[in-house]
Amino acid sequence: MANRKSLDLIVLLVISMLVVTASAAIYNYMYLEASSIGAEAPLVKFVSGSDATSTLGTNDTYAKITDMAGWPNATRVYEDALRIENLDGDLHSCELMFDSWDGDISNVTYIYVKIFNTVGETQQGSTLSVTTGNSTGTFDLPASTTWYVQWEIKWDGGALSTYTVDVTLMLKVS
Amino acid sequence: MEDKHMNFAFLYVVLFVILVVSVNGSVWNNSYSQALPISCETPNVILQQGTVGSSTIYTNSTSAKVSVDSTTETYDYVLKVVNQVADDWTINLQVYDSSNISRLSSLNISLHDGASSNQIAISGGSVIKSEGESYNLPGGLGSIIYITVSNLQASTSGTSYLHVYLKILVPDTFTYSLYMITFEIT
Repeated sequence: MANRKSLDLIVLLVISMLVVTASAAIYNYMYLEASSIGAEAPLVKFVSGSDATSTLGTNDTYAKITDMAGWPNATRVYEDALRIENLDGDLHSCELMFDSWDGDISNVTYIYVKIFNTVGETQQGSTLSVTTGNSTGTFDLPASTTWYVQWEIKWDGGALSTYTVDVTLMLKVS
Repeated sequence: MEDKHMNFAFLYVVLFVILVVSVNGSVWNNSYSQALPISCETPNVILQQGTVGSSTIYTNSTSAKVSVDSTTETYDYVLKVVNQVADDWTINLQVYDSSNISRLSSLNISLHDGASSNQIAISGGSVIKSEGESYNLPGGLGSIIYITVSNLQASTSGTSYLHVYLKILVPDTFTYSLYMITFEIT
């Protein structure tokens, strides 16, 4: 009787293993190569403006503006905060987009970012509103041309001099 | 049978279009620009009440409302622009909006600290000068420029509004602050 029970247990184990084995996945491997992926010199880069201090990353594909401010209930305008230069002989479609912001954002009335062909001249694309998180839309940056990035900042009337916000934008270049 | 051929032909066309669209995928590069921190500062230039007319100065003294009555021709002065720091500034006034000004026969708004600069002019119900020339606000705590309303005449009764920016420019830069000043003229 005991032998019969042991035999039943072994049969059960074998059947269990069979079920597990039959459930194993079946794979096929295919290979895809990308060769070679090169590092190119950037065709569009950031350039420091005359109205704000900017730290540019290696190859000028990253820019950090460090000293912009505003007074409460007044609009502060930096007409030449940063520049975007097309080094290429062909035009490039660009779009400046909101990425993120943090800090005392509930005390900001608005922050607008606009692109101009020359300081004080014609606006290119739409107005990027940091407060609503939109973009300039696509604009064509002509060959061998530099355009200007204007910032407009307004803090609420009750904002304190200890308040700050950090803003990150993304420039898409096609 | 003919319908079946037509359907296949249509399917081929659709597949061909999809193929063309697919091989035209976009290529782009993303770069990042950060502004940090953007800080809120104590105003270096403030508005203060004048000695005539009625003025309201709002929180932080960076905007104001001035009320004057057209039965009096000259209000000297309705507001003060006061420097709070050692830096010089270049200031001027510019109209950005108005309502019901057709009743105003004439109006001048000027800056002065002795020498007067006519910044804004209305004549015959229209703005004939919407922006004034640059005017120096000298450096130094308590340095003052005065804002005066003159030549005020209205042809009919009513209330007119003139919305004006006081532009405060950091000399030799493209950086400036805009203060909103509303003139209410009865």
